[in-house]
Amino acid sequence: MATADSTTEQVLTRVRATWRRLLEQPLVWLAPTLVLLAVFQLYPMLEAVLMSFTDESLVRPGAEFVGIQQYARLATDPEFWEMLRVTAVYAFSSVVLHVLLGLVLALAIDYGVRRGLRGHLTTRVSVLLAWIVPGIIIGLVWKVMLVESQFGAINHFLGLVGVGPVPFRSDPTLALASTIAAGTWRGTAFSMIMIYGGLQRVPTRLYEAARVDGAGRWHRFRHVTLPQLKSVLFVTTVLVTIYALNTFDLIFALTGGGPGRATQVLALFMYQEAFQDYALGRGAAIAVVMLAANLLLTGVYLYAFDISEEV
Amino acid sequence: MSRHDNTTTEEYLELVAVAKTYGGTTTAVEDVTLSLEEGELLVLVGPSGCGKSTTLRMIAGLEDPTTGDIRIDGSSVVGTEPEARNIAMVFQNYALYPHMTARENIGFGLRMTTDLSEDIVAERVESVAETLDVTDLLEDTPDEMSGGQQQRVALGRAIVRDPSVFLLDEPLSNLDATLRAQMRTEIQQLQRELDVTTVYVTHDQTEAMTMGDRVAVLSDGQIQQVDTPLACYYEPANLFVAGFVGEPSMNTVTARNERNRFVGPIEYPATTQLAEAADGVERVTVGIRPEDVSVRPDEEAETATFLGTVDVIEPVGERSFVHVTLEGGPHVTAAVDGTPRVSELDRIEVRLPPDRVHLFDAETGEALHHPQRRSTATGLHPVADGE
Repeated sequence: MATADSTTEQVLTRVRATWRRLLEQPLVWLAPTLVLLAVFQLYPMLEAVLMSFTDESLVRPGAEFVGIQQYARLATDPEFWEMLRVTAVYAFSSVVLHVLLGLVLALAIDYGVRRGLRGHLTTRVSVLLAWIVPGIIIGLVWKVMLVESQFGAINHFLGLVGVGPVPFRSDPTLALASTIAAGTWRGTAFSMIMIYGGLQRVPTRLYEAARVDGAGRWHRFRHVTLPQLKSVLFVTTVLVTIYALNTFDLIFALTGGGPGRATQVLALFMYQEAFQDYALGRGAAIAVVMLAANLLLTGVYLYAFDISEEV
Repeated sequence: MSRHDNTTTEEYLELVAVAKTYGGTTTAVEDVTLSLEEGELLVLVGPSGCGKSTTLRMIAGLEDPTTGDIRIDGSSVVGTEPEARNIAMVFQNYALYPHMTARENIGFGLRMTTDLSEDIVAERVESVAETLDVTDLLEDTPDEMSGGQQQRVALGRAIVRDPSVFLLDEPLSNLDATLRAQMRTEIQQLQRELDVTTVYVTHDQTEAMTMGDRVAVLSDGQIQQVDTPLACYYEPANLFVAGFVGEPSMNTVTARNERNRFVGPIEYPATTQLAEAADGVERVTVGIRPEDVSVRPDEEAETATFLGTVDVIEPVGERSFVHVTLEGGPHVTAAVDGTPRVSELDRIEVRLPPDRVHLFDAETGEALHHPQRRSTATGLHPVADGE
């Protein structure tokens, strides 16, 4: 019996030793993330890339390899280039407005908090509420607000001062501006929270040192705040860009891409191709183009923010 | 011992009845009046939370005094921004800009406050870097430097602008002991070379004693004494200063004044001089420096000798500190030369010589009597010219 006990003990000791060794390997700790990423991100991405080289359809069994035909079709479609333009205008305006307004709001709150302002939590929570509400609801809320008669809240108030009614959703330019406004209203909360987090990490002593060094308000912002915020601004800009490029729900609910194709962004086009026209291959090709655009812009930001050392 | 210095027109930096209250209830600084001559180095010393950093921050303009006035070179600076005061400050944690190189850090203030050309800025930065021996570090960012190097760059950033007042907020507290001693000397030399009016804040009494032309001891937001370091040591204005200045602290025993003796845990015989000083005071505190306590009493000196038990002996090189509990309860520390031939729990005789006794009013803490200073002259003389 004693021998059996000692054998069990030896086995147990060896198992424990192996387990400890295993736990020291970084791969073990990364494995859950890697598995989840592979299953839910990498595999679908790979599948989409493969699908973009076929003519797969939801209404027809089987699919044929068509090479770069889907991409060629997109490249020669003038409507695709128009949509790319709309997407670029929407994304660029969104990124600029999100980050700028987020920065202004965050600076205001940070300024207040550093001077003992109360109620900043309420302010942050209320701004964040806009971000929690699903995009489709935001789209609907804005749609109701922008109704082009006196029943629309905004036109009602404009009517009180003798303006309008303004064709917020039927004029092509105004419709695009409306989607940008609605998107900004929603997304600014996110950048504000991110940037505010970054601002809180800037040590007060740096501002004090800069004041003693003779730097006024603008120079303190330029030479202390901005450099200290660089990595946060980079991450925020990348995330907001991805978010803006992929916006679909809000525009779907607010304008449905119209009037005409004035607010037709790539994400919406992809949805329509894949799930309204059931052309999975064509939808996949648009998705791959969007992926490439996202990666390209992230690369551009990496270069522009000169952040390679910190990431 | 003047609680407040008289202000005269020659003073360069003046604080007049300065007070700082937070939220109407918490008083950080209460009625501080100080004045510094041009080129003087004043050390503000006191325990944590005594208001010394707040005082410095008010001089810098980082905080406004609730009441009182601060004048630099005759004109009030209350209400003006720090950037308008031409002061430079070295912070406890250096506060270097982490995204800038040493060169940019040092030159930042010059760029902000002057219209100097880049060439002249570079020239001045390099000259300061040479003074502080940081030329090799000019292209490094703070995270590539050691604490001591960061400290030098922070000093460089302060002196490059040729400020009218130089403020140092515990600049050595993050350095190790060796470096601290070295930087202490360097800062002193630098201050003398630049001849700039300097306020130096520290909680370390060694720094206070060794660095300042004068020392201002603060406690609970109030100035306890402003004087030369030696005067604070030999003639402390009150019990707080007596206990704060000197290492180990002064031994104190509180007792009832019964004319020719002080009766408390021990019965201390009062000399005529002490009795006169204590006249009219009900309770007195008898104080004696550890180096004046004798653990090998003279055979004929019978008075003021007490029996006690050795608690701990701390050898610190050429001296040892002997901690003794006297019969009756009071603890006494004696600083003796070399290593004493007694060990823990030994019973010994301890003499507290009456001619070395400081006397304080136990109620107010104010000093009533100080012994005469001992001659502190050493055999050290400068070599005469021509020898």
